Formats: sequence, structure tokens, C-alpha cells
Amino acid sequence: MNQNKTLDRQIQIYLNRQFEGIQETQHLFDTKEELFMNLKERAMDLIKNGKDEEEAFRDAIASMGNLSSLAEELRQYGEDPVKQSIHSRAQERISTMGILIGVLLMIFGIFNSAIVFFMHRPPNVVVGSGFLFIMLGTALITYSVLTRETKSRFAMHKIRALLYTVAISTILFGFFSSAFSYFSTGKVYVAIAACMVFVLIGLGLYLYLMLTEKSRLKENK
Amino acid sequence: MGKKISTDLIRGHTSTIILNVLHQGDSYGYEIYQKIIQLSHQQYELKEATLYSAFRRLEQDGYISSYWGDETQGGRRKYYRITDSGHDFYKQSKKEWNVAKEILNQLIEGVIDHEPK
Repeated sequence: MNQNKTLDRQIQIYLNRQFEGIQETQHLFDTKEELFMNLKERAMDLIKNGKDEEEAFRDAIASMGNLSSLAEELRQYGEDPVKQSIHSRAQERISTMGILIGVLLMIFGIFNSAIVFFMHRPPNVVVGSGFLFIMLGTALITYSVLTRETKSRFAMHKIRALLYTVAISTILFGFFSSAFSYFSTGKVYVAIAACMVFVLIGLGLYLYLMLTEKSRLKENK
Repeated sequence: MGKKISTDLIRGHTSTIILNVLHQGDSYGYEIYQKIIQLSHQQYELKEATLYSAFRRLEQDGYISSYWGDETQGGRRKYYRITDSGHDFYKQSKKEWNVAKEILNQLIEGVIDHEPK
């Protein structure tokens, strides 16, 4: 809706101005998002009650009150590296563990497949014995990387990261099940059919997420 | 809706008020603001900017914790919940308020004893 886009932009501009010149931290990012939702909901309520967009926006801001003390708190937080590191270290540790375990799972899966391969088992068993671990490992790595805050970008929403993980896992599952069914039946068209369903679903989800992506890049001032 | 009571009277109690709202159920900024208006029967409006500063302090003190909700209308809501130590702090604050209420009553309405010594 066009109306929503201008309202969104107005609120965003207002918030950026209120918090101008403050060091970008995950905390500031989260606070701005929280305030954005608050202002948006309030404005939408006022619009529903008959006010026009301009009025609703102004009323929402007025009722929010004076944000300068909150801005000051965030400015001080932004200049306090000790407080920040305590905050982000816990999150970072969880994400690092996730990546570590994910990598180990993947390697375990590959080893499993290798062992079965050299036991001269049929190829579909080789695929089957490794794929679960490789899939789990990839999922864990994807999720941990996406929800990690790096120097250049902020962490992604957890639910969004989960959706990305599901998308990639589904595509991977498609490849595995096509390999599995090819080796089980020897028929290429079965493999293609198995692959098609999951790859379509996974790719569809992935494209949707890419198209609705908001920039999480940090502006280095 | 005008302010029928002075902000100064409420200011020191913002934390306790928020804890009262949250101990009756998890909630997010805008909803907490509305619940406070409702609690005061439309007599008092606590500005949201004040609320957000209070949320930060309460969270730093460990009395409340936050979590993100689902994406609605193009963004996520931050929900707050009261912690165990928040419950204890709320009970304690309530007790202190009841004592203060009594004392204030006596100070403001009490009659001075003119008994001869």
C-alpha cells in the first residue's frame, strides 16, 4: 500500500533524526526497530479511527514523548565498549558453538558415507548414511552464521534466519533425495521428480526471503 | 485526556507500575502504554519515551527480560516478561508503597496533637 510506504519512511526519518550521531550498535538498531513498531501501530490505530496520515503521524510522535533522554542513554552506551562487549559476547559464543557443532556434524556425515562406501555397500546406502548429518550440519552452520553480528552487518532476525535455514535445508534435501532415489531405482526421471518438489519449495522460499530483505549493513561513520 | 495528577507524583513509581502490568501478563511497549491508561481509568498517560527508558533500566537490573515476537506489519515486536527477581522486587515495592501511603496520609491529613505536656 502506497500509504503505508510513506508512513514507514516518515517514521524512519524521524527516528534517524532523533538518534543522529550515535554509534551504531545492535542495541541502537533494536531500539529503533522497537520504537518504529510502536509508532507505526499507534499511527495505524489513529488512521483507523478516521485521522488522515499526516495527523496520525504527528499525534503518534507527540504521544511518544521526548526521546532525547533515551537517545542520551544510547549515546553513552555506544561510547562504552565494556558494556557492549558483555552484551554481545554471550550471543557470539552461542553462534560460535553452533558453527563448530555444525562443521563437526558435516564432517561426521562425510566420514560416515566414506566408511560405508569403502565397505562396498550400494551407493544409495552411502548417500543415506551421510545425508542426515550433512543436512543437520549445514542447517546449524547457516543459522549460526546468519544470527551472528559481524563488523559489517547486524544479526538477522531469528525467525527470518530460521526460514533461510529451512529453505537451504529443503534444497539440500532435494539433491540428496534425488541422488538416493537415482541410486535406488536407477531411473533418471525418478531422480528428477524427487529433486523437483523440494528444490522448488526451497528455492521459492529462498527467493521470497531475498526479495524482502532489508539492509542490515552497518554504516561506518 | 488531560493529566489529572502531577507527573512528579508518578515519576518515582514508573518501575513498580510497569512491573504490575507485566506480572499480569507479558506485553510490549505500545500495549503496556495502553494498559497503564486503562489501569488509571483514563486519568493518567505515561509517555512512551519514559516507558522505554524504564524498560532499559528494569532489564539492566534483571527485573524484566525481553524477547522478540513474530513479524507483523513489517517488523517485530519486543515483548517483555517479569523475572523471578522482578516478582520479588514488585512485592517489596508494593509493601513499601503501602507504608508510604499510610505515612503520607497522616502527614497530609493528620491532625496535630495539642495535648499539654
